[in-house]
Amino acid sequence: MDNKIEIRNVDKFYGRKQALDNVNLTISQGMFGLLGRNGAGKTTLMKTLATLHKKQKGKITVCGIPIENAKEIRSITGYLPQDFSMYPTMTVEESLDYLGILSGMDSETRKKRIKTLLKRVNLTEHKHKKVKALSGGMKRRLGIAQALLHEPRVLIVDEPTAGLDPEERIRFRNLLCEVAEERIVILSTHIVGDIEATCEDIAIMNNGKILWQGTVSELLKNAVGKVFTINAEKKFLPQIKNNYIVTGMLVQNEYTTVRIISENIPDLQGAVTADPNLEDAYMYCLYSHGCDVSGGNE
Amino acid sequence: MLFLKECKKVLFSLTFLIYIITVFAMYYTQFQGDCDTPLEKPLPNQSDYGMTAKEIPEILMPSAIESLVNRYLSNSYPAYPMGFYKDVHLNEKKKNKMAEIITEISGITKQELDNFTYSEEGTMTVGANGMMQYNEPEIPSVNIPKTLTYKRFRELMDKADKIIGGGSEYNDNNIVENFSLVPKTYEDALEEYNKFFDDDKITGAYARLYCDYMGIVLAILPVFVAVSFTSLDKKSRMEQLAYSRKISSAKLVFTRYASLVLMMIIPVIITAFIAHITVKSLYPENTTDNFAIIKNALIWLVPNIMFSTAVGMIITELISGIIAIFIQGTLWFGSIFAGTGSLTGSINKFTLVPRHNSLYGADVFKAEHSDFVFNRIFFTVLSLTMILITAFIYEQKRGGKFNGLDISFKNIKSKSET
Repeated sequence: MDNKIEIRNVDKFYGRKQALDNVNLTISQGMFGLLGRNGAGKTTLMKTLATLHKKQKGKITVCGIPIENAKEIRSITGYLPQDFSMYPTMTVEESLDYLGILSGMDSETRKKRIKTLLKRVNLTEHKHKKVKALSGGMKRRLGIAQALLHEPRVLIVDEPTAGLDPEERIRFRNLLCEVAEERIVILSTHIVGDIEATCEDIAIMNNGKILWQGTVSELLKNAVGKVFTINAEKKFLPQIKNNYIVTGMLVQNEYTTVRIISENIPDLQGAVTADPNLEDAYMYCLYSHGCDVSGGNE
Repeated sequence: MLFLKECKKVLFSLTFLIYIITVFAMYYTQFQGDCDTPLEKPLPNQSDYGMTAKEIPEILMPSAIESLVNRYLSNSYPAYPMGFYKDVHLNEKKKNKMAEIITEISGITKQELDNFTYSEEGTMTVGANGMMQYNEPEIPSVNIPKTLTYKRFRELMDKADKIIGGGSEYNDNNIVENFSLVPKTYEDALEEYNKFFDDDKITGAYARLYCDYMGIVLAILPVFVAVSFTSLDKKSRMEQLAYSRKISSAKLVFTRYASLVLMMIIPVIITAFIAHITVKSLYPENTTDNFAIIKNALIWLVPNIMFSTAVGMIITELISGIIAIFIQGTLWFGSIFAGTGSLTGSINKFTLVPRHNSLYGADVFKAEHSDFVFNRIFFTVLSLTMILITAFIYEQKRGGKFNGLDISFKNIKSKSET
């Protein structure tokens, strides 16, 4: 059985709206980041891979298994949806046990796995706590535990860090990296920082299409020579925002240091080239593919 | 294991607690009241053996007319519009319509009715046999027009029943047994009494009565438990976690259905057991059928639970829980209303709630037995078919091939605006 996910020419429609447009991707073992705006089609793609959505066209194989074999795919896939919870009156341990039964695990295996996973996600002390009493971060950790319960070969996590405080977010990202050592982990997010901290292989989605696929370093390389900084007086800011893509502004007394993206050297006095970060590179990628990245600038 | 987990989920739900309370309340308020005293054996030369119904117009017409005049003057009409007792009071408009009927059948004008001084209290007098007897309150004298045919009389009685709202004493199904009663002979009474012991073994008769009362609630209550249980995944935002597991849709849906049905049977078995103990203590010297009530409860009542649960599950998956309750409520109402007032011998092949509200009438029940068996098998098979379809719907929803029908008011409105 090969250890990769292959997505070929996949289309998906919601009525007349095309949610996935000729999607082609190859995802290998380790962390894979799917980056895109809200509404780009990331969740649709994640749900399609988790067999919760039906594609209209194209071919998907997960570790060599066609996506149409839903039962087999479900047995090797763990899924953590964006918006989820569990029965509020069940305890943490009971919830995992219930989901383990739904995964067809026997009693002894469930017992062992639940113990191991609760330890791994730091929830052992809270195993008798009811789900309704858990904090947002704890719920996310319980979410990852349930997704890993049946030792899946593929883990699909959709916007897992939304709503978490910085400390919980870091802890959660580290946890994902650890589990990615043994399996394919697909992380879908609109938060560039999550990708930067965890993934090397990424894809960028927009309007249901894969705009770009490669490594983080390749994405950064594409943006070299396209990012500039300039110290500008406040009065020039509207003009700069109108003419360039602004990725950062740092107010410093009389001047504001503005970070801009431009295909050519900007026609601004004092503009100097800067090393691109992942946010710059992501914005440049959207811009270079003709996406509207004005962000509502006048 | 999954079955036990699902049973536990049912057990700790609020709707199930309400279900248990209602089942026990129904048992104690309705059935228990009929278990206060044992049936008395008829003796020769008794002055009275009770009455039996025979359709004799000469008896029926004056008796029903006098009753209707009485009810009109007191403006109080007992009725069972949905199988439950209701004291109906008519408004002025309906009173006028009723007065027209009374005038046509009794010759008493509306003016006479309105001017009559009516005392609601009847009188007690010493009868010919030396016993005290109750006399109905005095009413204006009734003169049945010679031109009034029996057919026309029955039409007017049916009209009167509709004015009252159905299920009254004048309903087509009840009128004979209410107003055309003839005295039973000693032999009639003894035969009926012996059948109660020999054929029904006492508990058989009580089993029918028990099932009659419990069947009413068990045809509607399970839908609430099923809707609440089926909506739980969605309500708990657990749907996608369950959808993405390996378990087959058929196994999950059937296990959930089985756990719901089993949990809802348990209070029925407990009340049936209490009923058996109660009846047994009423007749300590007699031989009883120890399994009659439990056996009847399972055969008679389980299809009600199965059907109501299946409707709750399939419609919740297909549309929504509210619509499921509405649909089952309509079926329940229709079934009970269809058997208006005819509380015995109201079993046909497709009625959801078979009725037999009497300790007697084993013959009537026997005569309808094949229909009854067909009826129960029909609802069992129909329920299982619905659950099979529910599993199919669940599988379609799970794979994103179907998202349920949206027939909410908001959706209909927005579509019409488009």
